[in-house]
Amino acid sequence: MLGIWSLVRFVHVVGAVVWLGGQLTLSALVLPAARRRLADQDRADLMRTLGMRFGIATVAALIPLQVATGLALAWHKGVTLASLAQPGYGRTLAGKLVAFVLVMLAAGLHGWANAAGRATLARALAVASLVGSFVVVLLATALPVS
Amino acid sequence: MTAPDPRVADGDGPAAARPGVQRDRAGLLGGLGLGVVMLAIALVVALTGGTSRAAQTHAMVEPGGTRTVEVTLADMRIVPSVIEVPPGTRLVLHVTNTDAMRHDLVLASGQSTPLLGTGQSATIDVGTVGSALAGWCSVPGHRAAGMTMSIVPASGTSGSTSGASSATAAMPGMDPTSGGTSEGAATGQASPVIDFHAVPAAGWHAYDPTLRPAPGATEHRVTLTVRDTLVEVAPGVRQTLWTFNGTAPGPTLHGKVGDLFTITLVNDASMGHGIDFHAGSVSPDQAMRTIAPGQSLTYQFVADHSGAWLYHCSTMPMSLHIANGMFGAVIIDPPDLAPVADELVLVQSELYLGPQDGVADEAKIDAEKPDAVVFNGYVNQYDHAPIRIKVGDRVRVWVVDAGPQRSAAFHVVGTQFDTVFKEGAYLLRPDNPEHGASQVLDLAPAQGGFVEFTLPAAGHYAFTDHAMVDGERGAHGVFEAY
Repeated sequence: MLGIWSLVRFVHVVGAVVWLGGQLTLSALVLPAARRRLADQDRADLMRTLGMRFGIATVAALIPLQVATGLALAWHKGVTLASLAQPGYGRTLAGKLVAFVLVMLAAGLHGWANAAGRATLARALAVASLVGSFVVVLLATALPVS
Repeated sequence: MTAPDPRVADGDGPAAARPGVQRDRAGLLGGLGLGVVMLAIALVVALTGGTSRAAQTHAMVEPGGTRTVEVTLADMRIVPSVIEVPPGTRLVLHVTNTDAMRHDLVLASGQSTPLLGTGQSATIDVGTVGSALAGWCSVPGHRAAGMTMSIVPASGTSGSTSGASSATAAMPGMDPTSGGTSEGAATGQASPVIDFHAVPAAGWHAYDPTLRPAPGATEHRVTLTVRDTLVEVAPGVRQTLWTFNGTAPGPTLHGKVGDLFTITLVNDASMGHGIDFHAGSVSPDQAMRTIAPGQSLTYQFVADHSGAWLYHCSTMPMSLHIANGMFGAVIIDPPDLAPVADELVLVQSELYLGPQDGVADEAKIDAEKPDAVVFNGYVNQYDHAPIRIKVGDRVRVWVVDAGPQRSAAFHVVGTQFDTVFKEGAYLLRPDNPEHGASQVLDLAPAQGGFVEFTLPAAGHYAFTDHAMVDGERGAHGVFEAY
């Protein structure tokens, strides 16, 4: 049945899809193609512009949306701070939240490293953010059925 | 895979690419390393803490004055499961139920909390602790499922660590005060003994075995209300069964392939119950959930397939809920089933008697030692009220084995089955080329089917579970041919 909570869950899942899909598109599709087709300077400009836009969209829309829908879903499910410490659902959710924070940290540092001209570090942080995002999704699918 | 192809003219030249490629590799490897670290951190958070369900949680109370310990009831566990109290310290338990199900905490001293709903708390002032004291949840089945705890005096002098003595005093599942093995009979009363030759008192009525014709409509709306019901299960022997609509078995539902059943389950009993209909395919998560007393739910299924289907309570431990009366049959006719003169339903089940007027004994269920095996809920029911059949009439008997544990071997003395339908298929038809017939319909727990036969001459044709021990402890009746 399509109720309000399936809508909230839908928005939360779509948010995750956009975040992970956006990163994959940039790293696995756009970047290699730009390397082959564009000159160094053009490529750097393009990637910087895309990265900035993706970053702004993330901070302005994606994080608030994910946090809000995530909190709402947790409230609906009866999750409390104490229950996060309990094995099973609580611990899995706690692990997912930790991974989410680490991913956002990596993504933020990626932006800083790029601005500071530290290309290797920036690339490492981008890859880490991508891998970490998979961890978030993995733990989301591991949450026991609500 | 991101290494540039040197032959692409407008890409990075091979010479220019080399340091870039190395930086890329370093970035990629570094990123993968960081990602693995994230995975490790997340998994450590997700998987640590409470390494196993059976693990004990130990609380050591600080000495002196009055100390309050938080106790949590959830997930068929009581946390902490062991509380060590120094001599002279007054212990107060602040008990909270964080589960979706209702629980309570009862101590061997007689103190207890009321039945707590989700999020509710209560306080028990235990006082000083001189000897080991057991605690458990008194909701039927929960103690056996592991909802036990113990309060023990702190061992030895204050200098010693929590030694082996306290650990042995609080073995999981052990009851330090009684050390008893018959945890199921919490009241300690003996169960009544069935006299298999006794006769029911005047005014007793047998459970009507007649299968009512399926109503013409293809949609069936049924309300099943669960109640704690005092039921006579053998002459003079009464149990407080948990029943669907007041009887065990509950009402038989009858329909045709493709019919829609909409069941409203109402819980008017004193503890949580649910329902599971084998006659339909539905996602169990919502439909078969346990509902608290006072709640109701709607369970809808389409009977896509013919058969003699079991329905039963879906609340754990199901062995106890089924043994205490929560079962019934759904009969879905195969297409073109010919009408017969007499059509009957017999549901076989076991009785594991608790004390008189009490509920079923979990220790007997665990030991698989039933006091009786019965058709339609009463010992030797149709010996006391024989089912009358006209000589030569075709009889169809639907049999469902509700269990919870024993198989059925349904046999009618003095006749043979010319038709056997079991678990969705005809095993035998009257016109079979082998001229074969059948003597027993064998059913594993929850299986069902029907047999057809005629009685050749006037007389008394016993029907029985041909697992003879079960046949001689209540699974017995008589067809009286006239």
